[in-house]
Amino acid sequence: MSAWSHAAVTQIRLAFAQARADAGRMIASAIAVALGAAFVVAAFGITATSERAVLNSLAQQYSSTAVVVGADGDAAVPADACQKALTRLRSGGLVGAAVIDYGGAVAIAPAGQAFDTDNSLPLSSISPAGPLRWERVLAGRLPARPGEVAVSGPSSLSVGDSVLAQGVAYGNVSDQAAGAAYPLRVVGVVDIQADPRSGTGARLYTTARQAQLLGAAPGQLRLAAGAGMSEAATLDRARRLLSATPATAALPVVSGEQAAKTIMDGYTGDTAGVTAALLVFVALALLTAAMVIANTFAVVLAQRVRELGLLRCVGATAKQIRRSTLAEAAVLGSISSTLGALLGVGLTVLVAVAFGRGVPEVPLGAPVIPISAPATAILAGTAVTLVASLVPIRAAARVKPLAALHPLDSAADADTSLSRLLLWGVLGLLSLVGLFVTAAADQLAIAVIVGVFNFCTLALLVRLGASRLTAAAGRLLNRLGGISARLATENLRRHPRRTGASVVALLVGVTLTCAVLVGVSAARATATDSLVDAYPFDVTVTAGSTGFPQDIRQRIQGLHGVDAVTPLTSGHLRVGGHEIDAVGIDVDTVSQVSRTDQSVDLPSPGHVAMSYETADELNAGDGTTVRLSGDKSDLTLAVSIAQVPGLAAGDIALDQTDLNTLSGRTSITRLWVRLSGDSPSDQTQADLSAIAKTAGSASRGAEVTANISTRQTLDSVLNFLLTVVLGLLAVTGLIAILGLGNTLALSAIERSQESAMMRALGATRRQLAATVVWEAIQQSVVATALGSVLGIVYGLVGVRAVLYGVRIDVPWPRLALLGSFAVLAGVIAALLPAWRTTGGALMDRIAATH
Amino acid sequence: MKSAFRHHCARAADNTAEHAIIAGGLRRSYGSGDAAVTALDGVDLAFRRGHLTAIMGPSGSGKSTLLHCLAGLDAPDEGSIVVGGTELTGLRDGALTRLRRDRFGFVFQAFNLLPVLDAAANITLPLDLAGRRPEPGWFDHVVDRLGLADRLAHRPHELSGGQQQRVAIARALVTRPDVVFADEPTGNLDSRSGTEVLRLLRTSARADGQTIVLVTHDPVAAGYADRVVVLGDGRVVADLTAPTTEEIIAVAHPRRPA
Repeated sequence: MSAWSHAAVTQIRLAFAQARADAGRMIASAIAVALGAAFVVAAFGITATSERAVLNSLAQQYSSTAVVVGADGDAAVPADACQKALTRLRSGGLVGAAVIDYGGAVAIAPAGQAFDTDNSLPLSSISPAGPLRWERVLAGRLPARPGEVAVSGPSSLSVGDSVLAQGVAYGNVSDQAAGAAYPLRVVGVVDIQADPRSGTGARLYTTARQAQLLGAAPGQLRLAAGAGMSEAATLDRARRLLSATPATAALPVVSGEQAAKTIMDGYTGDTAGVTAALLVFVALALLTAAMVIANTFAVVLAQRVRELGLLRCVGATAKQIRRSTLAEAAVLGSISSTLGALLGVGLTVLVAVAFGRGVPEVPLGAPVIPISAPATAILAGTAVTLVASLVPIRAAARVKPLAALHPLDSAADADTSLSRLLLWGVLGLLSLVGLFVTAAADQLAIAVIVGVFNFCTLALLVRLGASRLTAAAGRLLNRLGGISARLATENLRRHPRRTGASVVALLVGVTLTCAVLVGVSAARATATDSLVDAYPFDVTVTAGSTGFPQDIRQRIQGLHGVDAVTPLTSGHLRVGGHEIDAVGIDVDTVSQVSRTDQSVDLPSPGHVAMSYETADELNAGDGTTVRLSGDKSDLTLAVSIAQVPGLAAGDIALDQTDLNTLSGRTSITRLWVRLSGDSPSDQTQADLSAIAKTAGSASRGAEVTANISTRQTLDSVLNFLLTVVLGLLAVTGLIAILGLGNTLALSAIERSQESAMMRALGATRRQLAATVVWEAIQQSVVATALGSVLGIVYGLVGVRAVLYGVRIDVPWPRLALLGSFAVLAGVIAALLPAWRTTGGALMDRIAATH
Repeated sequence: MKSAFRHHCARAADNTAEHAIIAGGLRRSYGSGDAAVTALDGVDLAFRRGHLTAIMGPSGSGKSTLLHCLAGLDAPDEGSIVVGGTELTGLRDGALTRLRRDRFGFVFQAFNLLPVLDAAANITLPLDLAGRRPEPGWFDHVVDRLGLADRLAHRPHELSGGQQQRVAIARALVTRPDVVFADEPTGNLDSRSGTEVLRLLRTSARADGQTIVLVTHDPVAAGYADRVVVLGDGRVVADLTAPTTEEIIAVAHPRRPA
């Protein structure tokens, strides 16, 4: 064996021995790396699993389809194009099974209640029995005749239920019911697997005939290959046939496989954003892990300084020391990231199984873990460990042989000089100004870069100044903690770099969490405001064809949860030669039901409000007058062009007294309702169905449109988003807390002789433990305070840059909760090291002082 | 019978008044089986108030174990230790900790001071741990006597070895303890600083009536003591009152017979 390879073997043996000997001290680093690696694998594994599930589901839907006509993304298909194409294909000799798929939406009403147009359900036609039927039943059977319907996904409907259904035309925010209502009976439940188009909501399936009656439109034509003809030949012939005729030449014609792929690509486009966001969180977790690793190595190597000096004394070169410690980092990084990758695989399997069991509506199917995921995790974990350990290892290699003979240097490391802090402070401040300027100028991409740079400089500033900051926090807090707290402050000052690393790791977590909380809260407030401005009434109740009885206002007003009600009346008027529907509004009472503080466009007495288009049709303009004729009298009113909320296009609005003067045959056709309470609650749905019941019994076919439900949906979407993001950030926070506890433990081990001496002098176990806990408190208080301020600033700047007309709504209670939680987590992290400081035989450590 | 009991009680009361610490029948062994080592093998000792007593003996004679037992840092297997009327053996950790804090002072050979605190804070550390304030007059007195007035704001690494030991002595004295235990306090010092430390210890015994128990293997250091107890194999082999250095050497390092 050559001398070189022998030396290398010795080094590797030494590295393993060291890694084993220090396993206890390295365990937190190992967990940090493992968590990061597990995160990588789980993120990619779960994404891949859901994509595979979607692909399987789509492939099943198009499995026997040779040709798809007219399914080109979201582009509308002309109403009769599918039928024309089918006729053409049949006449061209393509005799395989064919089906035209219809799609639409319906509002449903349980027997005797009003329609709920906010919760309209997507409706599809069911494929006829044959090769093209992909729908499978989970329960009951598929609809066989009009009047029968099947459901999929989570819904309140179950087999045997009867409902009234009415077609719905999609509106921007709320939908309008259209056409006749049909009674439907639920006969079965369809297994849709993981079709991304259905989302996680419920969906209805009925026969093609019934779907058409409910206003569903033809979306695509599917054709199977006929007997004795391949799918490719069928597609080829279909293409030629359709392109030869002008009426069908413009229709896209693709294979079933291609159609599935197109939908899949659209879905993947969505998931690409998700994957990118996941990568950011993965990077954050790994970055925090790197800080923990760097700190652990710095501390462990500092504690090993005598040993390293001894190695130097017996002839080890600085290079050999560097190599063997690097090898140690490689051993640690590769073993723990491999374990982490396994953990991630387990997690992915667990999620897939849990979804399969717990949420059968969104089955994920078998877990899919691309081999690249664990490979990336292990490589990234090892690389992060190596890179993070580089700086401490270089410092360790500089240890002088004499270090073996000297007692450990007990002098504190110097704090970073004020001038250096000032330099970074100025840089941080300048980049913060840069962030404000670029965000104000709507330069989003630049603002993001400036923001990241700004956070890096500020994090570095905190890292360098952390020991001064904890000392300042100590001055405020130490009145409470006496000698233990004072010692904690001094201990933190002894190792400014360690303190800095722990504080910054925690700072990253707190800042981002805060920014997300503030951003989401402002987004919620802003979106709610604009919703309220556009639709200022909580609930709009519209009568069926008969109108409401006169006492409807009192009946609704008497219901639970109803704050105020304004009735709107309708009548027929004539303007010149035009018949026109007019709505009478009791303007004085509108303010009682309106949610917005913006002025709502309403007609004042003597005025008539109408849209620009209607005015144009009547040859009127803003400020001109029109003469209105009713069955009672005529009136000349001034025209004001206005968007009256909830007014149908073509209708005009006027003051209720004016309408009553004109017409004696008005009826109450609409109610604006304000619910008590400012935000939707658990009670809201019950209150709404009570209103629906009352309205439905007062006027058959009445509709309830609740903007409050839209707000509720917005809330739940934002809450879901918040939960996911906070869950992802929690990994980073967990790693930071782990690092804090680890550094505390290592420092406490380092001080064990001092602790023993203090015990001899009469320090109680509690006092020693309290010192460690106070160190955690001082560090986490500094990290939390600075992180909250930074997070609030970033959150506000971020939401300002993305949204217009932001209403700032800082969620103080949540932030306070986060802050307390962060400090509490720090204290919990300190408990184990605190307990360990006080344990062990006093004598052994006293003996060690000799 | 009655009078004998009264006599016994009177003597015990007399003893407590006269002696700061009384140990009887101390036994302590470490390990078990073949590896068992008997460090103390029946030691009876009483330490008079206001005296500087030196405990000497070769390595392994049990002098450090004796000190640790007397100071409540280690528990003897058998025997009793009474400090100011309180039986030490059998006390729980909390009570023992408070006893050490309130009644004892310590000076060790090394690692005496907390590196993060300045000299003044190191001196008042036992008081801070107890939540007490130093008596201003006494603090100044101790600091003056130890010549530390201009060193109070220095951290340990800014002080010489002798200065560090003087800070440790000041810390031991500032609580006015029943007993100061000094474990090889001059072991790490050059002879000049060592002499100074020993003089200061003797002065505080003579001038302030401070009871001091000093463990040392240095006959010169022991020469400053009012009494020298020599241990060998866990037993008291000699007990000398105000001996000269020569006398100590004769007892503690007897020349082997030729």
